[in-house]
Amino acid sequence: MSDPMEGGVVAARWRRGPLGWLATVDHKRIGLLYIAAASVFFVLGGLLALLIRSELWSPGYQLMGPETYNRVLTMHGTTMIFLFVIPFLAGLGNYFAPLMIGAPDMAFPRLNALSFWLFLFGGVFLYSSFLTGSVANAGWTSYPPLAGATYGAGAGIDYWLMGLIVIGSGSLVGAINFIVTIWNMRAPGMSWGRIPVFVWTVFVMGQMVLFATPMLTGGLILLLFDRNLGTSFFGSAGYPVLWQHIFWFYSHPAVYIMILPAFGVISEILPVFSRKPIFGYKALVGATVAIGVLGFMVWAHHMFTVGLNPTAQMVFLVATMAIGVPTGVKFFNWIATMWGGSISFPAPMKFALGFLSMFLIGGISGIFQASTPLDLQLHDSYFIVAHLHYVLFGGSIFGIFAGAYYWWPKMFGHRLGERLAGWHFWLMLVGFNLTFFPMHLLGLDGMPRRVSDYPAGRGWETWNQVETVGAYMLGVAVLLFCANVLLAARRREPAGDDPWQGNTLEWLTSSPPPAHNFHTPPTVTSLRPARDRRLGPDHAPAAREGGREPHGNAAAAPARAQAVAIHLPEPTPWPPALALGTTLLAAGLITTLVVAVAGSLLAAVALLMLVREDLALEREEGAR
Amino acid sequence: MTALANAARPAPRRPNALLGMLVFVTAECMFFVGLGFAALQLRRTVPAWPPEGAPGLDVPVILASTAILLASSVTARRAVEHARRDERAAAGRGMLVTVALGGAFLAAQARQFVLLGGWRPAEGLYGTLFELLAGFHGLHVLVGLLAWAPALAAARWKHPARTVHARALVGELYWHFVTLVWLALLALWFMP
Amino acid sequence: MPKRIRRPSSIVVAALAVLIASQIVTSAAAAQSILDPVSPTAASLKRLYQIVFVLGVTVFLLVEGLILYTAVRFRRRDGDGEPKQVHGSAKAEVAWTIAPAVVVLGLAAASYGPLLEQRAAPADALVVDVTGKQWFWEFAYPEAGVITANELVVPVGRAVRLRLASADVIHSFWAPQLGGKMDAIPGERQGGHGRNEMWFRAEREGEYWGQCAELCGVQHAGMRFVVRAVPELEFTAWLAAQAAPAVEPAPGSLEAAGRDAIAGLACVGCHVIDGVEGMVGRVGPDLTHVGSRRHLAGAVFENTPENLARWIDRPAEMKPGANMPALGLTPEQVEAITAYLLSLQ
Repeated sequence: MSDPMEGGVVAARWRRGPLGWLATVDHKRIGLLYIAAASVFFVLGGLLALLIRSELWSPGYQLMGPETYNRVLTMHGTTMIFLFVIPFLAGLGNYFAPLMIGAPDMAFPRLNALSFWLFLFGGVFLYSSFLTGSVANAGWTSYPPLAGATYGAGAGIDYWLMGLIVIGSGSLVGAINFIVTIWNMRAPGMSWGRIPVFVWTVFVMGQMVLFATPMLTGGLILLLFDRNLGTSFFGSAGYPVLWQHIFWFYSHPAVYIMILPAFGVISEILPVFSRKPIFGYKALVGATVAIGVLGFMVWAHHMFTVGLNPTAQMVFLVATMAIGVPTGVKFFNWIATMWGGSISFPAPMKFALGFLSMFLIGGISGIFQASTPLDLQLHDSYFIVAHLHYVLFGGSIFGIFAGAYYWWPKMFGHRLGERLAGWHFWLMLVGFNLTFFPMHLLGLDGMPRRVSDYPAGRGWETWNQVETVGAYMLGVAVLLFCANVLLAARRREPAGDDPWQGNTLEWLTSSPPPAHNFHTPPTVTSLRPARDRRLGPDHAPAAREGGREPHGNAAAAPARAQAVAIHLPEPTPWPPALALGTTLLAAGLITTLVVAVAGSLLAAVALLMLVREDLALEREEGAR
Repeated sequence: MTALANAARPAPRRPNALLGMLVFVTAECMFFVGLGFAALQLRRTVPAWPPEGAPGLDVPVILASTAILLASSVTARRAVEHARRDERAAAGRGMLVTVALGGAFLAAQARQFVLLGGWRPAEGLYGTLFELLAGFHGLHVLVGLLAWAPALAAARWKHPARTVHARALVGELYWHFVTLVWLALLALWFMP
Repeated sequence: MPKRIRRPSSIVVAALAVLIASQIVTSAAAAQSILDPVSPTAASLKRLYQIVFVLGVTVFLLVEGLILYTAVRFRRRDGDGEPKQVHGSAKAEVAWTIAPAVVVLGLAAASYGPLLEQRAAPADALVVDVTGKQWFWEFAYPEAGVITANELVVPVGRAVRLRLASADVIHSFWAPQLGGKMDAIPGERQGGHGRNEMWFRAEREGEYWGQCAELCGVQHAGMRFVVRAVPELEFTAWLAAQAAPAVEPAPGSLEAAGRDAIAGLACVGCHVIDGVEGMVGRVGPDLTHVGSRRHLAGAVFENTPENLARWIDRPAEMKPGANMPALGLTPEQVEAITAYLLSLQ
């Protein structure tokens, strides 16, 4: 059987080295690209946070003036949400969703590459505004009229708007891929009732991205029109609050987009390290779907102070409170998973427990805010800043670290060090609480958010200083993680296929998996196929899936399996070219027309080449 | 988009491409829901609709373009049916007619733009909003014309009937979406 | 076993102690705290807060306690086999769905009254028009024809109804001790439900700080105000004084020189002094009685001769990004203008 990856229409240079990464359509490599790029943005966003906390050490302007501060806070929020949490979780989903359903790749591998490059180029374009001297400064929420033509003059907000359109397109394209993949490419026996909870969360997240992102795109376009084409949709002659409706219709589901995959990660980790099945699989899935649906019905709880009519406020109040119920269901199911188990606490489990505790606090503070009249006090104060960081950092980011430690051995073949991980965890837990818990108190004390300065004599200095110390602790904790990554990469202690004795399909193949994931598509008979394989009577160690060679050697497959020609899509440079062309088109529309024309041409050429590849592929398939 | 073949696994229940187009079209519907919601809210910032002194829409042109688009959906359906029955020439003709009708629709829209005086945001909300909504819809129609290209190419270059039909279905799905959005926009525009 | 369980529970007790202590410490010290209400509208919000607080702490202790207890009690011990593989319990699901649902519905019900109260101003309330402008708050008493800035003077014990507006971007009016915040939105449509209004009644004398709570530009942090609640008689006197035209400076005095300087400078484009011809601007605060104000420039600093002089001379130094430009005044002009403005009591 000839190796299908040899020969073919693609030149050798697109398979190896940096160009190999540029042209890859392998979901695992794309997942790693997402994770790497998102991590860089995490560091950038974190540095911006340290700038904020340093400035707020004491009253007065020390490090920067108020204009710079507003830019820093805007880019901090934008980076963390759009360029770190969402793409990182998309990266984990990209790597593991196909593996966990026993698929050889995503449904649309080239579209998958496109979604990554759109995210990366969009992010780079957004950051290029720092070079122009005008940076978005109206918060990540960018409310007009502040963000409009009169009061938001300068290119900064245009870069922000266009950048988000590109980044959002990447996200949308990725969501289409997730949905079709999970829907259509599950291995034999992998019914909807057997897909791992993580895959469910990725699926629901994908649906939420699908329904919410286009609304945001519409709003971004309308504001771009206001700023550049003379309309006044959101001006004082129009309807400024309309922006908020459109923006939050996306951005509230966005927060569930950011937390659901983290919920999924936790739902994978707890059973493995408690050595019990996940408790209440159906309820967890139902709760996920409920959150996905309810998440679209609560957006105006970000707008309780704009003067909606009281009936609307009550409806949103009840819906917001209601969303606490499925979240609580998840919590109890997670605890029940651990209950009666045999629990060990390596790094993934530490972060999972940290997640549970911190997200609990974040969820409870959310209940305070759900009560409309109480929110009239809490809204736009540091109480909100506390809440959002408890759910997004204490929730999503702790979940991200949990997933990273859990899946590191599968992705790289070696584990991260446990001792350093322990230091990372405890330093991060303490630093996190020092940074964000006092913010609840500052909010109750009347300190508004997004203030570049605060007056002496309110009694706010002490807590601000505590928070700054905590923030630097967080910085050190992140450095410890980076050190762990580097040291572990040097040590290269092989982790084996299944270091944690996992339940799901990814543990049934090598670490890292071969290009085609599984030699033979696994047949699934339960929710825990890896465990079944581990315990099954006819299970012998030699009969595990996969070998170490990246291109797969059919001869190494177990004797009873059929040697299979698995056709994988060829690497191709045209998805990044299309992404670049699109980004240039977007950039050119708000800078110079020449750039827009160049971008359109590049995009058109890339599209044509992609169609040509399609035709070539069909001819090849027809010939088999 | 690349279809993945794997001899040992059962083929996916539906082609990935069709499912992908269904999902994509859902997203695009949400885009128009957003713009439509904005338009409805902005309508309420002016005392009457159409506002006093606003440039009128040429109703005959609108009716004609609507009829053209509806007809094109019919021809699209017929063309795909021909493709299913491996009537290559008829399918090709049907798709070309659909494309031509789509082009005629766009020409009618362009006429409407000219009648409104082009892009004049300062002159009021009515013309501006129409041009915004119809403009983005028109862009989607343009993409729709291109969406027939894979099926037309497959028919022309003697690809298997199954391929022609699969690709035509994808184009048809997108095309009906475009027609439905137009009807929704009209409803939003003319409703009291 | 007992030792292991004791540690988490002592952590929990300590955490609780810190929480409670922080609440006490917070409400005692703070000058702008929502937990130190002065108006019944703020008091009912504090009560609501306390209800949710008790519930929240209870839930936290229960659930976190459960998490920690579980982690400790079911720790893997050497020689452990696989534990009992329990997949779920329908009864448990029903129980822990219904119980939280009941709780949150109860909270929703408890919120209804306070929600209505925030907008239900008494009919005899004093009406004040509040306009947010980058970056200060303007207060107008329409019945008396008074326009002032930075300080909202109100009579103790009388309801005050605020009608909110903005001259430029969205601001948010927030004096925590007097009640929740409300956005000040430019244009007619506002939030879609008529003009934004709120009301309060200061039950005791004093000064209560507030500030803008919606990012509104470069000096969002410098858009503060103080609410001064004074006895009814004092308020009436104050209002009458504010309604009078500007104090006339003695001819030939330093103050007169200051007034003449102002009338010839760009000040006239942004400010109004009732009694000085040609002053037409409403971009900046009304200065007719600026001398009587205790705070300037969005209540960012106190109204002292040194501060005022520096503000007029080099505004960007005191409030970077403020709309007031430096006019390149000579020291004599600065001295004269300062004296004149201070005389406008």
